[in-house]
Amino acid sequence: MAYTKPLPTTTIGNVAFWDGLKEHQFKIPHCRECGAYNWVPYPACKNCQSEDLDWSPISGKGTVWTYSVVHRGAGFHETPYVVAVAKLDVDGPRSVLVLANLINTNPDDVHIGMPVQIGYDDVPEENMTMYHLAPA
Amino acid sequence: MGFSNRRVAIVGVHTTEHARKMAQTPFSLQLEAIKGAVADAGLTLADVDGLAPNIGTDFHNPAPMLNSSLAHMFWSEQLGGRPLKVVVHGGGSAQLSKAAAAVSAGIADVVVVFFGKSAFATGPTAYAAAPPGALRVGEWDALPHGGYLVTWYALWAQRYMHEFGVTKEELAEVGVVDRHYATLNPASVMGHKGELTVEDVVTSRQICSPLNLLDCSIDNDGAYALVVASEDVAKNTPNPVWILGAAESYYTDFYASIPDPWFSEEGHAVKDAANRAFDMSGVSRDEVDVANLYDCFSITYVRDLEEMGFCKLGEGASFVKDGQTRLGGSLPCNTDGGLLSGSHCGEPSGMPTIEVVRQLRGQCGERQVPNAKIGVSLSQGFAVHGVAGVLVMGTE
Repeated sequence: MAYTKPLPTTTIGNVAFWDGLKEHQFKIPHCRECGAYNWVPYPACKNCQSEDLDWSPISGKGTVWTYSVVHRGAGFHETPYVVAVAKLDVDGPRSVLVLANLINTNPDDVHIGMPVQIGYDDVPEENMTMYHLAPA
Repeated sequence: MGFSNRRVAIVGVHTTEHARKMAQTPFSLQLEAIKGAVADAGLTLADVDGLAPNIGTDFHNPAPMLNSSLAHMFWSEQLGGRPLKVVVHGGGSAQLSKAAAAVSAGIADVVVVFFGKSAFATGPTAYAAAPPGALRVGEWDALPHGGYLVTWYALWAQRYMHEFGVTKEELAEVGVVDRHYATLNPASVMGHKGELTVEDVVTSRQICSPLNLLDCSIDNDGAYALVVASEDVAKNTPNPVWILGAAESYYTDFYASIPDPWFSEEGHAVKDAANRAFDMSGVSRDEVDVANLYDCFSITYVRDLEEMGFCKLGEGASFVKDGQTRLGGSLPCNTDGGLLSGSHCGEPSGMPTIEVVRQLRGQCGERQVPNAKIGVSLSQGFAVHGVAGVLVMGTE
């Protein structure tokens, strides 16, 4: 079945992230100078402005930082559905807050602090993999 | 000689009709707004030597929401085919701040700030005509995950309610106060619908929890323009309102990239711009008679009050509930009905300043704040608050 949800226009600078998803890994920019993980990716570290970044896989585990139950969507997801921002477990001087569709849960059960984990959706016809959140 | 340091005033304002699904084109609306604001100042188009076109104003560009650098060439030719001395891009109070700085410095004497839209949507229906197959959006856009503009503000509202123990009912007070003002403003889009109760707001259609329909701004058409002029020009106009302090501030280009904490005493762009504009003006918060704060959602209004320094962090909702922003309260706010019930014409960031100018001129009829001498306008966007502009204005 064709994938009908919108997809991101990926850019060359972030190919490591999108390639990581294909391996079901969540690799995000990590600063070799100060240890900060940066999300969303910027070309230099937002904590110390170093360009010496690597793409380090993180566990993708975390907790719900905030969420919304969407009753009036933009037409691509069956309503109601949950959009959540998760605070993912990382070391370093910055927090990592990642927004994604939170699936496999009753919207009424979602709460701030709920344990969640990044999961992966392969989209072979578009040669890419997307990510979501699900209860851990 | 170098740059000047001239006093600057807003000398003309104009709003066209603001309504849903207007037949007029964006161009026609904008031209009407420009002509109206110049006439309100007692000036002519030949006096204008600078432009501040907002987004969507280049009619040779097929992508109407782009902030094209070609817009000034289009408009300088359209307005008489003559050289213009300055072009300022941006939006709202931030764009007015830059226009005022350019006029103060002597780069131009009379700058028109304007915007207008019709025939396109800004809400979720903006995506309704998507072609079959996977629509491609920006790399970090929320749409692949089901998020759109309202979702972002809902996420901020949910976190805010969690951190400060604020309820949906308390946020709903914003919609009630805005609607009351709209009923006093004949030009508002929603005033004719009558008063709202908290119950009406929290039982209105669910959009993105915790925000219901009546927590969200409306989406209508319309145009507006403002004329910024130097003291030499302003002193010969009928109703100048002086710009005492002006500032803009930028914090993020994404909703998604602000780390923990989202709500801090240091604040983000709004607090920074407010502090700078108040410092420049020499006016204290206590001296403000009337304010118009960018209220795209109920949560935005509450956060505006806190970041502007009108109340403490976490106390914005109770400030509204106590009636402080109503007529007779300590700080009447958004007396035109705001973006929730007055008008949200796509990019309404100049509208708050227009209402404050009208208040300081004493032109507001039933919603007039008696004897208003000092007013403040705020425009903001991106993640409550990633970008901001603040103007402090006075009658003297």
